[in-house]
Amino acid sequence: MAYERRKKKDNPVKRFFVVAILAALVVAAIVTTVGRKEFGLSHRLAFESLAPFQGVLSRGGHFVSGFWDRYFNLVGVSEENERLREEIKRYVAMNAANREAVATNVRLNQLLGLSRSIQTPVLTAQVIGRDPALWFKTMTIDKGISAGVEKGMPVVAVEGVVGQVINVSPRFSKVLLAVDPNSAVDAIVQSSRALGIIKGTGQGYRLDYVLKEKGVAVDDLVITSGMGGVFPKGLLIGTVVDVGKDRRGMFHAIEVRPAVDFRELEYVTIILQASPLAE
Amino acid sequence: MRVFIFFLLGILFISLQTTLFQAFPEWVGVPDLLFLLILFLALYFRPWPGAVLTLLLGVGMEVFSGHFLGLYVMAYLMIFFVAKGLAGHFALDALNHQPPLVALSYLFVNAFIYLSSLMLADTPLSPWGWGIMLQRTLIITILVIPVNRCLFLVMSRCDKRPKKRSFFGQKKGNYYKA
Repeated sequence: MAYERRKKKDNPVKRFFVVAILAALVVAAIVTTVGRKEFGLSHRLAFESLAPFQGVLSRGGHFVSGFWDRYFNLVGVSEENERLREEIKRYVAMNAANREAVATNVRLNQLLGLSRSIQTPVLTAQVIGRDPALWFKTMTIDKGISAGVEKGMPVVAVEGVVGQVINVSPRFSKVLLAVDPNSAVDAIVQSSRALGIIKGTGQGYRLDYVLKEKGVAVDDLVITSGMGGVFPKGLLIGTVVDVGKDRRGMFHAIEVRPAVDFRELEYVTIILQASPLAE
Repeated sequence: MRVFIFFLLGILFISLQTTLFQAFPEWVGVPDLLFLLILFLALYFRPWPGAVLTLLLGVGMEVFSGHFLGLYVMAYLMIFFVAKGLAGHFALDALNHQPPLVALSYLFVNAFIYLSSLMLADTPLSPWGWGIMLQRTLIITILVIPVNRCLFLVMSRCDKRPKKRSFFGQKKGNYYKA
């Protein structure tokens, strides 16, 4: 047929240029993104689109495991066990706060000064996803900009410090856990008042920059010092499990066990205060 | 249609890896189904739809994993094009050749992400962890054949085109046999 002869011939040169330009644009987009920590528009869109799927699967998983635990594993015993665990967690947190309150009271009475108590609003969020990679410790929560969450806000649980918000979208946020090696929290040993920095090791914490002249012992509680301006003072971080015996260097090598079980976290609290470090 | 279905599968795998699979015991680990999907796209999809899907799924993965953007996208695209190139010269589409391909490429991708993060981070990362890395590699090596069979099934279902009918239910074209 005549119309078949007039069929357009495929132009390979034109196709090559189109593909090359598209590939160059994609490579340029990737190269300009590599190494950044801030979400751009595309990442925020992807985060906002994919996080609801996490929420659905997460809630479904909790429902199924809760159903199994409650109805097949001695209902009454399971409920009582859960209630008692919550009570113990509450009492441990209260105990740490009370000790800190007593210590603060004594110091202030000695100094004849005033303390300022800050009451900031808080927001509860559900954990809907966790980082699957081996070396990064982050999680996704179901509150975002629309609920008042901003980058840099501290995140805590009943047991103690959880982490800090590092990325936000309208309805979801990404939290850097305190056990991540990129995390650093200003801390103080409750008994000896030794100042230091809590760094994550992936599984636990390390308390750095504590001078050797300061006495630190196993089972000492480590709390936030409030000096970084991120976490309020007095929040429980963890318990000292090992104090290194190395004679070299100016500082102790202290291992701290986190107060929070990050694998079992379901709900967290975001402290809605503007961080001085947030951009 | 096939591209859309596999995109949805990728989203499902990302969601599973970041939610339900996290409840598995430490010794089981978190099976990286998304990585198996990326390799499947490299071996059985045409270059450009596969590359676009790989790019989108890489972006989806990196918003939930890690601190530095761009690493998963680069790693997945590298693996995609390398596997695509090798598939032209070796019989990589045979299922029994895929376990060693999966094992080596999984180690390569994770090493790339780890080393890149190490260079970009201000502080040292957690140690590499050969034990758990080999364990996870073993798990996805075991899973590659059954997962690929399932993906083949999905692909074959997507490729079956329904017969076109007119609004009145009549078949189009000449269906009278001579």
